[in-house]
Parts: sequence; C-alpha cells; structure tokens
Amino acid sequence: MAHGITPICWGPLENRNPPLDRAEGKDYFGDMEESETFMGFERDAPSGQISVAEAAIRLGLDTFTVYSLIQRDRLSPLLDDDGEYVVSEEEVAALAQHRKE
Amino acid sequence: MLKKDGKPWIPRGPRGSGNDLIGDEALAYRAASHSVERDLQPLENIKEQLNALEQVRWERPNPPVQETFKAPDGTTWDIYAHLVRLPKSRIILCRPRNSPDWSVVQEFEEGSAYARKHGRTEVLVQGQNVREVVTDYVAQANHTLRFAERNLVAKAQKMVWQHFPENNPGKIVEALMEHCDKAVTHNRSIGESQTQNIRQSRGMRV
Repeated sequence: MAHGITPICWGPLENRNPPLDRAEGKDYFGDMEESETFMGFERDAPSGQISVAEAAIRLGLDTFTVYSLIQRDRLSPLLDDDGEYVVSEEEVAALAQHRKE
Repeated sequence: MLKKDGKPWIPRGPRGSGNDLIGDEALAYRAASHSVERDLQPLENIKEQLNALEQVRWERPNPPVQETFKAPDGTTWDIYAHLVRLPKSRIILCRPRNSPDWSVVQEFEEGSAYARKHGRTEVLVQGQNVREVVTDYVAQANHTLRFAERNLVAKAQKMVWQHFPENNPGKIVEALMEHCDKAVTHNRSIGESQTQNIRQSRGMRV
C-alpha cells in the first residue's frame, strides 16, 4: 500500500481507529492537532468575516470539515479582496449556538 | 538548500526552461512553502486515506460489525468500517440495525460547539449499494480537498505578494501551486471525473 497507510477493509478491530467515546478518545484527537495557522503571515479578515481556520476553531471542527460544510451549503463562502474564501462570523455563531434547554 | 553559482537554487521543470528559482526567489519560496506545509500536511494525510479506500473490495456477504452506537432517536447503528480519521472527527461506514441502507456518517468530537448544537453524528451519504455509497463519499471528499487546496493557494498568493513583492512573486506562486496541486491530486484521473459527477448531480456551488 502506498505511503504506508494501513489498508481499510472489513475485518477485526485491530489496527482500526479507536471509537471517539472510549477512554483513549482524548489522545486520539490530541495527536492529530492541526496547525490551523498560516505561520507568521496571517492577516485579519474584514470585519464580520473570519477565515476558515478561525471558523473551525469556533465550531470545534477541523478546517476540512468546515470546507465540507461550505460545499453542503451549511455555510456561505465569501470571497475576500485577495481571492481567499472566508465565512461570515454571524453564520458561524449561528452554527455554534447552544440549544436552549 | 542547493546552490548554483553560490546562490540558493531550487531547480524546477526541464533544464534551461527558466523555471528554476534562484537567489532571493528561492529563499522566498522556501519561507512561503514552509508556511503552506503546515496547512497542507493534514490535506495530504486525508488524501492518502481516501486513496486507500479506493483499493478496498467492499462487497462482502456478511461483514463483521466493529462497534455500535445509539442515535438520539434510540436506533442502534452498527459500524462496519472506519473510513477516514480527521483531526476532530471520524468518518465511519455504518447502517441502522436490520436496515439494508448503508450510510457514511461523520462522528464529531464530543463537546465541540458544533456537536453540542447538531448532535455528534451526521449522515453524509446514504444508499443500498455499499460500494456506491463509499465511492460517492470519496468523490465528495476529493472535491472538498480540491477546494481546501485552492484556498490554501489563495492564502499563499496573498502572503507572497505582501512579503516578497520584489522577488518575482508570480513565479513563486506558480511553484507553490504546483507543489500544493501534487500533494492533493496524485490520483488525479479518478478524482477529477468523480468531482465532475458530484458537481453535476448535487449542484455544489464551490
């Protein structure tokens, strides 16, 4: 298998990712922490807009998932002056808002 | 870093093509690519996992159940395979117990703001044919990767023009684009045709 990736196949549980709600769940996420920064060069998005990376942090997701939310029309992509897609801070807040008990 | 005539040198393309980055161009490229790398690496990791899924023979009469989970409506779901591990979630292949319908589901980290509002699991693709369901998911994910990669290039472009305007920024951006493109599209012929299908069938805007 190319790139040393364990093949995914039907079969026993060994070599598979641990479930999220098991005891080792914390480590499972801990070792995959994403940088989410564009080192040293990051510039603030215009007011009311935030970068995809910032949206990911606020939602507790990774950037890949935020991009997929945009593609599924759960977030509207906005193109900033430099051609980068950003998202509305308000929409992100609405997606993250706690359900009222 | 390689040197040519005592200057930093990054060879690109055929010899004599004029694409090589020399001197300050090479130094600027190295600084920019170092920044890009941190965001590109997780995408490469996802791409490798997606490529691995394309090698699997999914049709099997009685696949074993790996785990189960209970949905908020009380339905028990059987998990048959872990497809992709993302930094803050995982993608699993499962189906409700005693149901013929396969689903690709994203399970989010417990306690994340998104999961608190929308629940820990979200169905991404559903269908009766397991191969089609997985293939459909892989196509969607490849499309997402391309989107993420293009946005990364746009960020890189912005940064290069801001910080290295005197160092032939167009050429540096071109080299960065090539680098990012290679990282997330090394299964290009499959990925592109699937992406096209997805765009047509789902009317995705991006």
